[in-house]
Amino acid sequence: MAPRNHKNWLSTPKVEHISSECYNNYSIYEQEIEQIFAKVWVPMCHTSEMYNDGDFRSTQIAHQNVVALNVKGDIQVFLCPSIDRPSGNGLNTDGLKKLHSEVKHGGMIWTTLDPNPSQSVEEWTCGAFDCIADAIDTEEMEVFHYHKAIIDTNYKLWHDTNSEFYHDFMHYFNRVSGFNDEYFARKNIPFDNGHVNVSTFTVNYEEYEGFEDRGELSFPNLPPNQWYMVDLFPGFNFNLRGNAYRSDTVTPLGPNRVLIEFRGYGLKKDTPEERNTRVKAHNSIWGPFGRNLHEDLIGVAGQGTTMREGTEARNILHGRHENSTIHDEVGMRHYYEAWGKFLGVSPMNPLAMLQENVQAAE
Amino acid sequence: MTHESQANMEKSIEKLIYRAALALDDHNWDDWFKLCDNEFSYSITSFSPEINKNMTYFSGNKKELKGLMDMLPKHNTDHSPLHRHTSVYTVDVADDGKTADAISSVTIYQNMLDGINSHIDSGESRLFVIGKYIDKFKITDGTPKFMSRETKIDNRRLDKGSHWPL
Amino acid sequence: METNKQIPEKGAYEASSKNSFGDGAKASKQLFIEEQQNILKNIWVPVCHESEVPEPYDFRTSSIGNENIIVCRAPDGKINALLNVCPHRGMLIERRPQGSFLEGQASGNPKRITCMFHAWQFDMRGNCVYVAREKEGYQDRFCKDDAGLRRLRCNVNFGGFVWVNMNDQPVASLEEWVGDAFSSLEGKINSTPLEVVHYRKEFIDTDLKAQLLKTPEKVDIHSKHSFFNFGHFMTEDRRTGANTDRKKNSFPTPDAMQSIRVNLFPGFSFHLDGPSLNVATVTPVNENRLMVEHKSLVPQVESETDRSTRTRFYNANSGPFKAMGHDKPKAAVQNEEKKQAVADHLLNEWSRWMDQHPDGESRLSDLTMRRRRNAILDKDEDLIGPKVVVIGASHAGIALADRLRKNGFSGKVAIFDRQVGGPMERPPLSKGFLLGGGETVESKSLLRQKKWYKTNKVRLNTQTSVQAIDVKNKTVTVNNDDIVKYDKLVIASGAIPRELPDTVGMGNSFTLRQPSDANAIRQAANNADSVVIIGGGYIGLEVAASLRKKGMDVTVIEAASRILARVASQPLADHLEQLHRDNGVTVFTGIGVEKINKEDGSFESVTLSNGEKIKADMLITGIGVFPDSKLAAEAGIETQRDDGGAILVNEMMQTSDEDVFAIGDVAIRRDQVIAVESVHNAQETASIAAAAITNTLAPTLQTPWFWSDQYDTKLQSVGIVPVQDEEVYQVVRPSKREHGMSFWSYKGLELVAVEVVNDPATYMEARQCLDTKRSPDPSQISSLSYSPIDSGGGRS
Repeated sequence: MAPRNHKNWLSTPKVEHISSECYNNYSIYEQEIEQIFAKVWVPMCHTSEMYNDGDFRSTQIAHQNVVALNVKGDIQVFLCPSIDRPSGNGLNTDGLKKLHSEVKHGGMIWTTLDPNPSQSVEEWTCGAFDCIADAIDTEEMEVFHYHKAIIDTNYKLWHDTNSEFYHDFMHYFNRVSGFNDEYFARKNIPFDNGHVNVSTFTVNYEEYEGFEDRGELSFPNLPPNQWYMVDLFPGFNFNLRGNAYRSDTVTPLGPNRVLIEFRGYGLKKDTPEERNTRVKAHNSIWGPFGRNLHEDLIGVAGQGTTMREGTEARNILHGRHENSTIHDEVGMRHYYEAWGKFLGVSPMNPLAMLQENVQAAE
Repeated sequence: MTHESQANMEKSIEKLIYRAALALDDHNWDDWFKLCDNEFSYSITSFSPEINKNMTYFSGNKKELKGLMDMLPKHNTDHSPLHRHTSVYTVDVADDGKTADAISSVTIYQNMLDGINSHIDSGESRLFVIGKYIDKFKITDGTPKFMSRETKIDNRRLDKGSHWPL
Repeated sequence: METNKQIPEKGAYEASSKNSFGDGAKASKQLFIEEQQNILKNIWVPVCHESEVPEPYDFRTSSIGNENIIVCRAPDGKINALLNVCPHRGMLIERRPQGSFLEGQASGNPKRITCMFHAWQFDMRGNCVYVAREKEGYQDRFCKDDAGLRRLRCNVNFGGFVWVNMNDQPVASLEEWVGDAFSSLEGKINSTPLEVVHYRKEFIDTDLKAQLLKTPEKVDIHSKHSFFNFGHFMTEDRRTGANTDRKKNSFPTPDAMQSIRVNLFPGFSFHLDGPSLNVATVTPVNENRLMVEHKSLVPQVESETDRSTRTRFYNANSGPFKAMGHDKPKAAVQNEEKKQAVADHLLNEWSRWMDQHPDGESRLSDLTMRRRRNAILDKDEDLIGPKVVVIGASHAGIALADRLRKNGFSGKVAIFDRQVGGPMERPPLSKGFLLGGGETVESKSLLRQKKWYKTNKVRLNTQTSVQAIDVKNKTVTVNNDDIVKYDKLVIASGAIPRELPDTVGMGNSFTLRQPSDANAIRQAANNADSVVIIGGGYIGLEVAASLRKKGMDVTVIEAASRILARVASQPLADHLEQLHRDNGVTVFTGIGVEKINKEDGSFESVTLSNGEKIKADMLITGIGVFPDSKLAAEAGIETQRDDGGAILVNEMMQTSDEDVFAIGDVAIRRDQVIAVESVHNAQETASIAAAAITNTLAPTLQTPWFWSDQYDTKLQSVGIVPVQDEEVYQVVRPSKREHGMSFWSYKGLELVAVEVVNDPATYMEARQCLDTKRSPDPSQISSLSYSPIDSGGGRS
């Protein structure tokens, strides 16, 4: 149809949508930090980053400095305001406040700022990891890749991209290696607490010039060349692709700025050759110089540009329905339902209710 | 190998590194490949104090690289040109004159074009990565060619990264 | 979201009090966002030049405020502007600064604008032509027809620049926005196709308003500068000692020594500097960062040598490395006054758009305002011939200017008006206007659109008060002590509403004459439940009807024995009084106001002469007007009385001074018994005066006419009812239309006036009768079967 004038442009779409204000309003960001990030279980790092007694690893959750420490094989997590290094060995924990923590789901270290968490990690993830549990919990894993990105975009836009595969049109690699009947039959499966996972299918790696079949080194109990994805509310992604396993975690730095940390995992028992194969497989798609990650990040950076603070509120469509299969946007719809409940707002008009909530609280 | 021919070879290798820098700056992949032996292998590596490990961020042989470069037009890419400043620090030619090693310092700038918000950013130069080229050469009939290059970068924060070898 | 921004008149920055931004200004981030919303998204922005998109499918991306846009050339050669935002999930569609859509992008096809994210594709007009897996995902709920891009207003004009306005209903057309300011530049830069040959950008750690305050630094004391509407200004300068290159390669037209700089609010500069046109545009990036883009344009077709000479000249004078050049620009000689005048001009405009005062300490001198006015007066130098100065942009003043031009007058016409903003239609102010909700003045109520002033070369100077008239030296003093010469002076200063002594300075008490009065009433009425209106004339009754429609309790108090005692016939008055009563208005007639009671300085109630006390939330006084003739009286021009009254004029509207005319409500002909304040009177007296000034044939006089709207009743009257004449009587004529009727006033057998209610056809017939001096038979006029046109006998 004809291009739209301002009025038509802003008119209410006929399909599910949310307001771009969810992505760029400072008050919402503050509420998210308080109501979400300070309450949920966060997978802060992996046990293999701290093998030895005394090793520690730090991060930041909801503006608080947090340290995970190996105390003779036992992982303990503390609030540590003065920490100034990402990692090290030897930390005096006298006087530091201990946080709840668990090691779960493939050796991830989970912690929460909530002093009285109502759910265990198992209860919080509520089955979202079941599909890959056999693959990631059978053998001890090890992180071989770490890098980070800081992008001027909202953290949820990154999670959205992880939650919808309709954007495979952006990835040449996925178009040639994936678009087949089996691919289109993949299902998005919602879990409680806003989590989603995407079921498996077989990737034809050899369809992309120069790429090799990954059947050989598949993770334990995983049939060759399968691909699973777990999207954990509010912004953690676990991705098992044949012989490579990846996670990424978000740390919001502002309404329109996010730190994303990427990790690649192999099995601890890998021989150097096996490890090289996994590293290469990881890098080819998800490495900072890989084929897909670069494209994904350009995508969310572009969204961040049009939705930076002060831009006009516009409608963001989440309205694709394909029987929950791969290009259905049910993942995002499910996520924002949970998100709206956490903040007590409607994602279609978040500011109206946010103001009421804040006033009520005061 | 005489002292003089060794000095000449060092000079040739220095020139080769600089010529490769120009070809990479210009995305002139064919010219770059011509400077490399058929057995050439390439990698980008880094050390992460965060996870306390040496890492490989990218690797490929000549054929793989060529395949990736040929495929580039089909990808959505940030086209902001990368411009490297290279200084050759050491060149060591083997006693038998058949191989050589060199270490260069490299600083790569990104001249913003279409990455983020081009109206504001384009034309601005930003520091992209810093690191070293650790190169190995094969010398045949007095002509050096790259056998391998390890681009060892200090960065672990890479934001959007790149589709191109550095 | 705000869509249709009107420039608020309210809160306009008064330069005479303060002129810099200080700590009192809003938090800078909020201010930054408001500047984007209020200013940048409502004005015409020169985003690029047509030469940057020379071929079909060429594009250029840019941004206005913080919204990203694409400018592209369609296959038909037309240039379009689109919001660079995908309607699906808000992706920035095109990321490159410039290029061509002829070649397909990685996710899309040739000749398409492709969003890389999900491969949605659009054509050059913004139509969505492809949604990936459309049916599978959206079935029949959504399709590409629902997914067009946002199209923006885009005009290519004024030297081939591409102007884009984010507001679908711009406050001014592009022509109105830049036309005046570009008048000196336009002929020169339109004479040959241009192309952009230099581009660079710089970033300044500052904000938009701080940058506005820096603008005056560029104004040289020797340059002539002119101010235009919307905060634009122009400086003209002549270079001395220009080198040969400059002389030889001057920009297309031959005046090598000329330097013209047009500065468009809030920061777009077009500098024609001999051999090149240098353009600088600002884009605020955040609250403390501003991007300035510099472009240089030269004629598209020229020899390599010429091109290189121009480039050298540009680089030496304006390039990024100009300090290295040989031809160092001379240090600008400035003076504080000029800088102040420019600063005031810009801040005033900023203030209008932002609807707030730029809080801060005062650095202003009165002198700067004087400079500013002088600049206004010096603008229309291209006009030759006598100069007519008009005091008052009233219906009469504007009609006079219009008639002058229609009569072929080619001299200068300058109108001075003390009001803020363009003159408005007055009749709607007491009617529909009061029912509106906003605080702003709708442009449709403007007496003339801005374009009219430009087309007719009529210089309207608003917020300009005339202080004195000197008939001997033929000058007027404007504002403080600026002296403006005239050849003919026309006083159209209108009338001032009468106030009761008790109401002067009282809160919640209003009169109605100017748009600002109507605005004030409208706003007060939004917070009030009841109103007392003193005066049962047309203004009072119209206001009563409007406020009653709003649901307020309305009481009208008329001291005379009936409403409309001075202007309407008894039967019509009775009819209208009943109409008001039927609509729930309390009407008192024949009762005076004994006392107006205040509480805390605000209106509280009125005590009537019968002792009754009526409380209300607000008071409106509509007891007539008196002519605003003070200036004339002080200048020795004859008025009705020594201490005032209307200005006495002859049949040509000439006052006692032959070069001074008076028209409209301020004037009365020496032979005239009763003053009639109406639009008709304004227009007719203006036509007469214009004819006298231009020495052309005087207009055929029309029978006076008048109209009024009250509730759903439309009243039209033609002729003047001589209410004092006891021989005059009325005959009622029924109407074919529901609720219609008319009152025909006769003196003997002679028809003198007709008042028509809800019957436009009868009004036209009555008018025809009176214009042709035809008197239908009074004994038959009450019969509908009798036609006043066909049957009435002519009389001479």
